[in-house]
Amino acid sequence: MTRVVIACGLGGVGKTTAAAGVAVAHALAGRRVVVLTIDPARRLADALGLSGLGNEAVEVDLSPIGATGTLHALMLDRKATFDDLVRRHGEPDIVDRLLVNRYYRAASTRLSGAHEYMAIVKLEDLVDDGRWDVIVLDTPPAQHVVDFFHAPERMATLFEPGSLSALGGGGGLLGMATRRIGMVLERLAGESVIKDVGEFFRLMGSVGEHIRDQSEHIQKRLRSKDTGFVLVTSPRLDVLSDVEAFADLLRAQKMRIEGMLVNRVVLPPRLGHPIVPARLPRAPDEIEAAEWEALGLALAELPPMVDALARDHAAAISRLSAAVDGVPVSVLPEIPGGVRTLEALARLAPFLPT
Amino acid sequence: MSIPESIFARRIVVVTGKGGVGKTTVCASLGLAFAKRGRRACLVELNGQGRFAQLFGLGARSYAPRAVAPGVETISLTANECLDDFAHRKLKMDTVVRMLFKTRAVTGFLDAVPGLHDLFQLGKIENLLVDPHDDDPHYDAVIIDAPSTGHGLSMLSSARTMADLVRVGRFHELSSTIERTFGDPEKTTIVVVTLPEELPVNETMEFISALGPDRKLLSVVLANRYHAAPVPKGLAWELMEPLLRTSSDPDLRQLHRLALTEIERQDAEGTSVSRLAASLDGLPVAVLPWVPGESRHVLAALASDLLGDES
Repeated sequence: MTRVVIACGLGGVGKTTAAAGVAVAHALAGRRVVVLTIDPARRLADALGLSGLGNEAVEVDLSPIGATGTLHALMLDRKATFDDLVRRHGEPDIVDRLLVNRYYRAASTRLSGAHEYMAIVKLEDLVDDGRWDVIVLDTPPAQHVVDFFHAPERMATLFEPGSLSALGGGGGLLGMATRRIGMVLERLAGESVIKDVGEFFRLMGSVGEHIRDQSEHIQKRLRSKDTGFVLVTSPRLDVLSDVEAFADLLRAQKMRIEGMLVNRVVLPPRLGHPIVPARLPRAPDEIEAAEWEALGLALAELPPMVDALARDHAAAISRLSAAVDGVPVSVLPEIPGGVRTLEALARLAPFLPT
Repeated sequence: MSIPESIFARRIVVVTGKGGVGKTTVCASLGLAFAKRGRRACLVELNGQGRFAQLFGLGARSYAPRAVAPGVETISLTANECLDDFAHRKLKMDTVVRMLFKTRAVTGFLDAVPGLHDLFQLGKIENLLVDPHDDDPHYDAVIIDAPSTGHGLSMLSSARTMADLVRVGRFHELSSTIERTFGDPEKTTIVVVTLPEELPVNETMEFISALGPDRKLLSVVLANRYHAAPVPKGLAWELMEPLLRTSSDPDLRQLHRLALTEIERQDAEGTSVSRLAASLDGLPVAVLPWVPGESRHVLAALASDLLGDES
C-alpha cells in the first residue's frame, strides 16, 4: 500500500523545504519516494536537481547522501493538469471549444479550490502509477491551513447540476427563479460574461461530473489510514488559531496527524553564567582599549538577545504543542543561511517523522 | 528608521507581501503611526480572516468597526457582506431581491468569476472613504492588510482581470470606480513588506517587477524583523575571535558560536537589504527591527520606528 504524507501549513514557514526534508528522510530509510512540490525556491529546486522541470517526475541523484531508497520529484503545473483533466474526461467534440472559451482561459486555474484540487488529482496519478512506497505532497499556499481540506468540495460545488450551466443558455425550460436570477446577474455583470460562464459550465458537463464523483474518493483518500498529515509551522503565536482550527478539523474528521514540525527555531544560548565584559580575554597590545571595550559590551548583549528570541519561540512552541495535544512535535533548529543542499536536507532527517 | 512622510497624506495604504512576513503587525503599527500624526485610520482586512481581532485580543471578527487604539479602528470584510451592502446602498435592491444573492446559482457565479470577491471588498473600502453615510465612521485613511495570494498577483490586478472579463453592467462600473481611486497615486499607495532574507527578497523583487502600471503607487519596501547589529566586526573581533574559540571557559566558546551565527545572520540580512535596494531604482527601502515581547509593546515600538522617533 502506498503511504501518503501531506505537508500542510501557512505560507512563509518553509513548508516546501520541510516536505522535501520528509521525502529525503523516507529515502534514507530505504523507501522509494516521490515528492510533489509547489513552486520550490530556486536553491531547493537546485538541491533536488529539479531546475527547469515540471509536471513529470524526475529522479533525484541521492549518491551524495548515500541513501538506500530512491527519490523522485516533480512540480505541480496547474494549467497543464487542468487541461489534461479536460482532455481525459471531456466529450471529444467539445474539448477544443472548451480550451478556447474566453472564460476557461481566464478562470480555469483560478476557480475557487482549483489549485488544491489539481494537487490532489496529481497525487492520485502518482498513487495509480504504483512505483512508489511513499508520496509526499506539498500543499498550495493558503490563508488558513484548513483551506486545503475544503477546496475539493468548493470545486465540486461549482459543478453541481442545474446551477451555473443554466446561465445564459437558450433552454426554454428554465424556472422562474433561475430566469429572475439570470436577469439580476445580467444587470450586474452584462450579458456576455453570463453567456461565457454558462457555456463553460455546459461544456464542462462530463468533466464537472467527474470532478463531483471524485469528491467522495478524495475524502476517502484524506481519511485513509495510509494518509498522514504533517503540520509545518513557525515558532510564532500568530499562527496559534490556525493550528488549533487545523487540529480540531483533523480530529473531527478522524484524520491522522503524523507530527507537527516547528521550523527555524532559535535555541537558548545555554550559558553557565551570564557574560559580563570582565569575563572576556584581556586586550592585546596592538588594540586600543576603547575599541576592545566596545566589542566586549556588544558581545555581552548577545546572549540575552538570543535568549529573548529563544524564549519567545519556546513560549510559542509550548502553546502550539498544547493545541495539537498528543501529536509528536519536532523542533527544527534554525540553520544559518537556510537549507541549500541535499546534504542539509539529509541533516534534517533525524528530526522528521518517518 | 522612518518611512516617507508622503505616506501619511494618502487615503489608502495597501500593505502587501507574502505570507509570514508580518504584514498584519506592520499594518497595525502603521495605523498607530497615522493616529500619532493626527490622522484617523481604519485597519481593514479582507476575506474575514480575523487577524486584527486576534492581534488586539478582540475575539471574533466583525464587519462593524471597532476601536483598537485612540484614533484607530478596525473592520473585517467578507465578499458576501460587502455585496449585500452594495446591493442595498448602491443598487437600492430590496430585501427580497437581495435574498437571491444567497441562492446557490448566484453564490456559485460569484465564486466562479475570479476577482469578483476582491471587487466587492475594494468597492466597500472606496465607499467608506469617498461616500460615507451620516451614521458611518469617517476616516482619514484606510490601511489594508492585503491577502497574500502566493501567486505574486496584486489584489488590484485581480480586480482588473475581472473588469476585462465583465465589460458592461454595474460590476463593470464598480470596477472602473475602483480603478480610478486605487490607481491614483495621490490617493493610494502600496507598501510592500518583506523579510531581510534571500528568498523573501527574491520574491519581492519578482513581485515588484511584475507590478506593471501599479509600480507608480509604490512608496516604500519595508524589510521587517531586521536584527540590529549587536556584533561590531573589524580588528577587535579578529583579535578576540581566536581567543574565544580556544578559551578554556565553555561559556566563552558558546559565546563564540553565538557571535558567529549572529555575524552570519547580519551579513545575510545586510546583503539581502542591499540587493533589494539596488534593484529598486531609487524606491526607498526601510528596515523595521525585530522586537521581542507581547504584541502591544511590539506595535508601539514599531510605530515609533516608522515615525523615526528616537524615544
